[in-house]
Amino acid sequence: MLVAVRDEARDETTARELPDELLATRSTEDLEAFTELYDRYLCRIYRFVRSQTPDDATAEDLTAQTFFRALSGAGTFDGRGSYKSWLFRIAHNTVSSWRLHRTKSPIVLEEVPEHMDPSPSAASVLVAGEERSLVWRVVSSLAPAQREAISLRYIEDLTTEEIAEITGRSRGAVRILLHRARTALRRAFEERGIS
Amino acid sequence: MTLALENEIAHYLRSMRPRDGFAAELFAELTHGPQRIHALGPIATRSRTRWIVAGAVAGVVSATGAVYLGSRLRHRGVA
Repeated sequence: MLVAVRDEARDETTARELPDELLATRSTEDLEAFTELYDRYLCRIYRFVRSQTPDDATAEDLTAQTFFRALSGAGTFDGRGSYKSWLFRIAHNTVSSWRLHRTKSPIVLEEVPEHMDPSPSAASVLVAGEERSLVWRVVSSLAPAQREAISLRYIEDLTTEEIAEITGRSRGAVRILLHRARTALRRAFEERGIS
Repeated sequence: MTLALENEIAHYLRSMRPRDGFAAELFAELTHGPQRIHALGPIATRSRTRWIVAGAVAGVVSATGAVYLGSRLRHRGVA
């Protein structure tokens, strides 16, 4: 259990200013450091995991497992690489493990994520709820590796190099995955009369 | 695929968020959970509950089936 290490020279404002890598080295002993990292990454990890899973409940379970592993294994982060890549690598491994052990079942219509940003952008005002579920269905129809690469690129704006580091693939393989994913998405939308 | 469509997909994926309360619940589990969470993991705890319930249901179904089969056999004079 984390113990709050109080240092008069440190406060929440300072924690917000510290880089991820420094907070990570303190996170196992400093509750404020862990809290800051948690606040920074919970939604981002959840979004990535949710884009790979069929329903909210599974996404919550795997998100929880990701943070549990990150907290338990915080000592393995040596600070040399990016904490973001390290954490997303854990999320990637968690999802991959779940997918590997997932019971093969008949095709199940994936749930459309219910919890969306209550303040939609000007662009998404033009996209009705039904079309939003169309976007979800099309993205969900991608092969797992393609969906993962697209999600990391679109959700996190990660570079090819970062995606390669997280997924354990070569940069060339990631580029191919992204190209194939975009091609598949374009075709799927064209079939539905959307370009 | 047009840039506008890519942007729309990106916006949609980025707009997903966990349900209200999830962040606080998970934080509490991670930072103040009982020792069993450290030993079992939050996923194992939830999965164990599901297995217990599934086992209980299977037991009830099996017992019900055995009673029914016995009555049918007695009706036919077999048992």
